Amino acid sequence: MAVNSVDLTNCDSEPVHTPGYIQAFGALVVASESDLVIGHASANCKQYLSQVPQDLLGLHLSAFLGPDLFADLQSRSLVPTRPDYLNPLKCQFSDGQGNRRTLDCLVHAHDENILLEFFEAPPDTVEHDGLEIVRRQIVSEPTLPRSSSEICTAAARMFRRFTGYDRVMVYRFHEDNHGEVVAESTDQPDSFLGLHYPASDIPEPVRRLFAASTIRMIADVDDEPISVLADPDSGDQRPIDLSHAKLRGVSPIHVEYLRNMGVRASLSAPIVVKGRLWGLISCHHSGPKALPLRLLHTCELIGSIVASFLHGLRSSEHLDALLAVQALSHHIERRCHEGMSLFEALRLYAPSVNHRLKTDTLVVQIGDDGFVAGEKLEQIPNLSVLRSHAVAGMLVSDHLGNFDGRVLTGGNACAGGALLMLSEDGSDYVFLGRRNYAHTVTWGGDITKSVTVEEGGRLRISPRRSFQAFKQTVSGRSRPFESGQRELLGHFRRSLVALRSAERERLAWREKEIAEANQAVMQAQLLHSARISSMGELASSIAHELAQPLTAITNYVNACRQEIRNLGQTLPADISELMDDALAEADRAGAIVHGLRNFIEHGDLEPSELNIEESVRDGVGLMISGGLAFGVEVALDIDGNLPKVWADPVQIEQVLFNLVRNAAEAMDGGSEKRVAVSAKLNEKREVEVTVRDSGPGVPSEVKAAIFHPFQTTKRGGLGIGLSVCRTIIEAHGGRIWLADTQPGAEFHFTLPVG
Amino acid sequence: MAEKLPVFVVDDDASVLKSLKALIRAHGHPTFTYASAEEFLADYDEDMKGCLLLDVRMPGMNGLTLQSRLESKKSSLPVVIITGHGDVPRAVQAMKAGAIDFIEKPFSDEVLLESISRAHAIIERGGPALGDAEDAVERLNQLTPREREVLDQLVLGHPNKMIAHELRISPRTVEIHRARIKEKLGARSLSDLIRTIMAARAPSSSLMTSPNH
Repeated sequence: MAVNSVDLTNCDSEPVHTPGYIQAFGALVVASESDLVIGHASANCKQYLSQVPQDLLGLHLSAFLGPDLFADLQSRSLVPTRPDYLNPLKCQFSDGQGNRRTLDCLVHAHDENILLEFFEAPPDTVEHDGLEIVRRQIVSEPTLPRSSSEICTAAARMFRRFTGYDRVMVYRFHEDNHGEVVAESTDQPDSFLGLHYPASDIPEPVRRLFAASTIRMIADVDDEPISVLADPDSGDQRPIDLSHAKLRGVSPIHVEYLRNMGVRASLSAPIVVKGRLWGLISCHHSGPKALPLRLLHTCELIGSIVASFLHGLRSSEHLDALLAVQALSHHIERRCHEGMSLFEALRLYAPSVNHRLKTDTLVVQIGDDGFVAGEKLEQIPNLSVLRSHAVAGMLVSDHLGNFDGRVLTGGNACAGGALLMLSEDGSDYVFLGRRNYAHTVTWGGDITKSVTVEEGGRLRISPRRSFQAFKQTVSGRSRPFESGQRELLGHFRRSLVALRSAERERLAWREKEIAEANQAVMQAQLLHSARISSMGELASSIAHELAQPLTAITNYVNACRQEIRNLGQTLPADISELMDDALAEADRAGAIVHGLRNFIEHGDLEPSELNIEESVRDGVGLMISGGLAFGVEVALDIDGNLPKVWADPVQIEQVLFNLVRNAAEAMDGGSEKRVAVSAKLNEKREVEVTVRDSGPGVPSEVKAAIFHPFQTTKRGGLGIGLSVCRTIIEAHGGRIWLADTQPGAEFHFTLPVG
Repeated sequence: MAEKLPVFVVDDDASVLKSLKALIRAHGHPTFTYASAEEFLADYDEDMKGCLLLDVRMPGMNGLTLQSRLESKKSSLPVVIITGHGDVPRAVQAMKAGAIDFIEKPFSDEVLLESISRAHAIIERGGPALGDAEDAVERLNQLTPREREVLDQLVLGHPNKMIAHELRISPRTVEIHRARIKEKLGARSLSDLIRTIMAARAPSSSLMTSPNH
């Protein structure tokens, strides 16, 4: 829409509520709320009250109204209400020639003033119970209107029948405040139905007055405005705030606007739904026209009834939509509870999501997974750009081009949409896109107003003169997101956020469980391997120890036989046989021991290509996680370019575990506890690992046999750890030794490069 | 009967030491026993003649260390290594360092006597410790390239499983190769295989020089 922003600025700054003059169909008297002394009076007081305004200024209200009326006034609440014509004061004033005139007086307090507006009272004969008629008519109109346009059409028809205006229209304001005529009743040949009017036709201050106030009548734009005189002796010379005054003067711009349209009198009743100006019932008349207060009252009631109908309709529509979205959320939630991921659940319900939220395409991104469902729209905006504009996790717009500066053309462009952020880190979101809605808007006249430059360089607008229909094709926007739909999107988002956060918590928990389970498995493996190794070690040393006596037995028997031969004696066959049996049994004993050891050791070497750095980290990490290295500072220095070795990872970790644990235990009670683990490639091109501690070192009497089983300096230790280490390292073709250092202990082991 | 070769036995286990002395003596060899490597070194002199029967695994100075000490003293004692079961890598190491043979505990007297007589033969010849190099080369040449690869791994003391992985073949195949190799080389034991290889690699080596070249 090509609306010049200059117009709006100018119009919006116009002081419409304090014009300083009133319309001619009544008189105004204003008293200060604090002292009840009249400070302002309209210039036409003589005509209505038979007193010149100058005589009224400075008068106390009680003196002006007389004791009865004054008492009546004081008993009332003067706060402006809506509807506010419930009970006008009935006043009688003498015209100075013995005649008494009856006037209706509307009183309200505003901005520290009490405003009294005097109107001609219609003769009693004309009075009728308008409210009752309205009620009856509304009930007899299409009984329960099913759509807002039915309600509006009925309202327009009723209004015109009642008031006799030439033309009654119902405007509806869109989200961007531009108006559209959605219903019309007229006896004129031309029709305004379906025409759009720019937002600037009803400037923001006027809009505020409509929303806050009530019905507005302009009796005749050709009437001379009546100025409001102020008491020159009063200190307060501010113009009176006429926001709630029926007589409030008409702004010259509006007068010109109406004249250009050929309208002399008008009536506008606001339709306020849920505190928002939904629209207007607007009446135009080609001649002057002022309604008596009672009819005005009835019109206002009709406006209120229309509003409540619309409210009811909207509420029920909104409720239906809300229930549908809640049902959808519930379905998704149930799937998630059944164990489906939010991602899959959204994919399953994607068509329903688009249907319920009236969108064309659905883009879902949950962590690393994403999908697009629905229609293939083009030019889906850069979502990370949109994200930066999101407020409270949401961005909704029918004009996404605003945000990433694209020109959206073509029917398949994604012109509008809603971005719903599902997590604070921005990794989960849902985008609902709406396609470009290219359509023709018929404006009630060329929407460009002429701008003239006033003295002093200030821009001033003149309303357009032509109201010839002006067609404009609108593109680059989607169908608008109405406030109810925004609310639905908010609901939907909140339920998805809750589901996603629960899901994330669950995933994090599961990951933690898996990690813990993995560690438990590793520790179990290590423990198992330690046990196997210890058993193997035990079996090995039993085998070794048993091999000695068995060897001795064999040797002795063989020696015996030889000695008998040496004596020149022939061994009797049965004795020789007994000796053979002894040897065979010794052999068998040896075989059993070897068999036992082989059985225990069987398969305990599971070599694979091994990165020593990982082993070191895992071995040391296991110790730390097991709480065994409390208070010990472990420093790693591992050459990053070490070649892979061919070794059993669990076994090598066990060696590291043993060495580091020994180091930590050796330093127990010391003040400085440091363990340094380093790995490098030595001159023989073997991987050499060193574990050095800051403890007291190994006592010299233990050094020689430190790798033998059952050697220990530790209380409660079996003395098997280092001998297990040796078994493992030697089984890998490596070497293990204790370096001759002081202080501290320094163990080295090597592994051949695989 | 020719004069029996003296045998020096070093073993930390007293009962083994005593039984060995009884057995070897019964076969007529003068026998001297030592409970540790240190004890033997203390008694050692260059003129010692005989066979050194050495337990490889001992507290304090082990067999291998004693071997290298002797080598540094230009000792001419042929060394036979006694190992526990399954201590092959160490035995291989000892062979490379100049041991003429190794036997695994417990052993029969035939095996022991054979080693001692091998030592005797070497001393008698005063020459090559390892047998005919040309013969060894010829035998090795009968092996297929794959068998040769397996052999190279075997003499490093690697277990079958490791060889299988190294050569990307199954352990069963290693077993088959192993049997073929023994057959082709006329070897009865691992020590025979090691000797053959070392003989082929060092055609002119004598017992005194290191066979590692």
